[in-house]
Amino acid sequence: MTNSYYRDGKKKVDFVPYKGEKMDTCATIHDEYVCCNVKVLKSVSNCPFDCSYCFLQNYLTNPQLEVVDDITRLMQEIEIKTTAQPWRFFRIGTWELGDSLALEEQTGQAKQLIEHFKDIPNAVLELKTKSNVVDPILDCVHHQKTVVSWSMNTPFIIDTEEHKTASFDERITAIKKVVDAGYLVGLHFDPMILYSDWKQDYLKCLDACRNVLPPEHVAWISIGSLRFNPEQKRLIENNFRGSDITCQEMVKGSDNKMRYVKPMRIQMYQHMMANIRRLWGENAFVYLCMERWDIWDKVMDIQPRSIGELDFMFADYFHTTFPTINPQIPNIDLYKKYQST
Amino acid sequence: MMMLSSAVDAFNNAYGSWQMDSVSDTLLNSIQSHGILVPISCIKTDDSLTIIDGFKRFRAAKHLKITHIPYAVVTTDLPPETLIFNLHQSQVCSSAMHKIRFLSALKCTIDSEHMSMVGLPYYSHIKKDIAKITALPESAQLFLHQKGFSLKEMVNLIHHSPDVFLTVLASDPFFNFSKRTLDHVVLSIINLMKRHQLTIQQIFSQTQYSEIMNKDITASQRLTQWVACINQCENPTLLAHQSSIHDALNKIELPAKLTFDTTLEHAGVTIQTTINSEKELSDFTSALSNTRLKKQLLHAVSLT
Repeated sequence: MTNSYYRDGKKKVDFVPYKGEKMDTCATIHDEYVCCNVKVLKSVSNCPFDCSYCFLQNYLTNPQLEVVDDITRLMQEIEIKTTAQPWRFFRIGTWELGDSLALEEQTGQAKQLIEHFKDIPNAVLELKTKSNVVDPILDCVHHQKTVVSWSMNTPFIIDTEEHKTASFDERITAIKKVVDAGYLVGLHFDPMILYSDWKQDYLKCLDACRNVLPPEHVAWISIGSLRFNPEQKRLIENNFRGSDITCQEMVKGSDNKMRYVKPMRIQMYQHMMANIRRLWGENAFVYLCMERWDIWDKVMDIQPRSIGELDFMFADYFHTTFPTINPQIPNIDLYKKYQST
Repeated sequence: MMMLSSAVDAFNNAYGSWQMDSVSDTLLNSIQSHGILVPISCIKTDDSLTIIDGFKRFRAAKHLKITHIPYAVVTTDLPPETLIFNLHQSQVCSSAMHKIRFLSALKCTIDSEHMSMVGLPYYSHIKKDIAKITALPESAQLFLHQKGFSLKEMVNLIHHSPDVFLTVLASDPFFNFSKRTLDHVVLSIINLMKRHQLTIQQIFSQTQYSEIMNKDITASQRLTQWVACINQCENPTLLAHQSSIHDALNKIELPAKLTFDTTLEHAGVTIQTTINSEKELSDFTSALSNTRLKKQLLHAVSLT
């Protein structure tokens, strides 16, 4: 029991060799929900941060913080897979089992990946973080083939639930730095969490982001709300005794995850969507993470009907908005036909 | 091992204080009829005889006011916790509560080694959790033991506020809680307290606790009514939406059963009917083509 306690592994980084395949589709994919079909590179496992809602506390069988140290092998796998589907515009993130930048000063992994991704014609790298560790990547030659993205939340949620992460102001400063360095930026308002002042706090959060992030630097913006497996509820309550995030009205979806009741989620998303459009205009690419078609219909101004269709919309958006990053005209039939690959 | 006899007062039963199971009538009757046939086992500690086996026989003897008890002294190098754990393993391991009380009675250090010995997880705040559990009144500990709560379940019940658990447990004679229902009620009340920043008394008032408790009905009926009130308070948005969808569906005069996903997760209305004749088919299709009914149906769908 002692060895598998998930916090114990967070204290020290182990560098591990490349074993098996590391690139896969985001694990949350589910037939009944619209998934963005982002690919993930499992180059980091576990995270030095300690967010109360993090699924890793219920997911990792090996709690040791590990970083794959063989970038050459990682890149070989990516090159093989992106070459095998030249028609596809890949989005590949390193954040599924950890934070893309939190350990950068120790590992230098992101910097090496950025250097490699600049030459892949049909892919962008997504580095998603809750840190403010951006200085090591500011001087990289990236050709905008790397999107640096932040999991953003209100200062209240960051202070009370996202332990050991960068503060709200630190994240805002970091966004400004990468924008100045020419990177495209992604924002993930996910998980949105309900509390008494959520409405005005998320509004202030959006305003602060807009102050440092002009529309022409927005790669994408996602919105999602708190969700977790039923068994994780008690883990959260045990591991984070001061947290109140599990006490709201929730129901279990067919992906076996607890979520806020749908009318509440719709209210939250509509609030965000209206203000995102007000702040970043009609062109910014906004999507929902792990929601059903009917919620998209009620909230969003695009209504993809399949995973392949949403994947295509990303490619199409990049082709029209950032043609140097995705010069290829995407073919929707291929995206639909091979949506499960 | 020498067999001796000594006055009841000469024995120290501190190592047996973890046991919560009562002495059975069978054992009491047997000892009353025949005396203690198998001597209790002790180790000598300073000037007293500390019992390591025969805890129940000792308690029975005291209950029956027997003045002298046969005993044997065991000489061993094993530490008391190892010795007693090996002698009483099945009883110690009969519940998480027993395990915790065993560690406490034997004054074991709460470390990974001892936790592993009794089969409990070791984690960073285990000491605080165990201190909270052992600070509960004996009656609460007995309930947790008898209902077979695991360590995690006990921690969940009390970590926010042991008072909520104890207050709910105090009403057990009125509600006759099972493990599952007590767990549900306590955790729901804690959720509501956190969500609305209310006291337990305010939650009791909102869930009609006093009114239900004073009703002249069975414990099971009281529990059903109280749980329904608690659920109502816990899920106001869901229940309000369910109610408005039910209202919308009830207005639709269609020869079919109309249902929806009560979690609201799946949108849409399910229309279920069995057609046995041409007339039934005709009735059904003509009802569906009615403009007013279509409007009503689409309204109901829009609410899901």
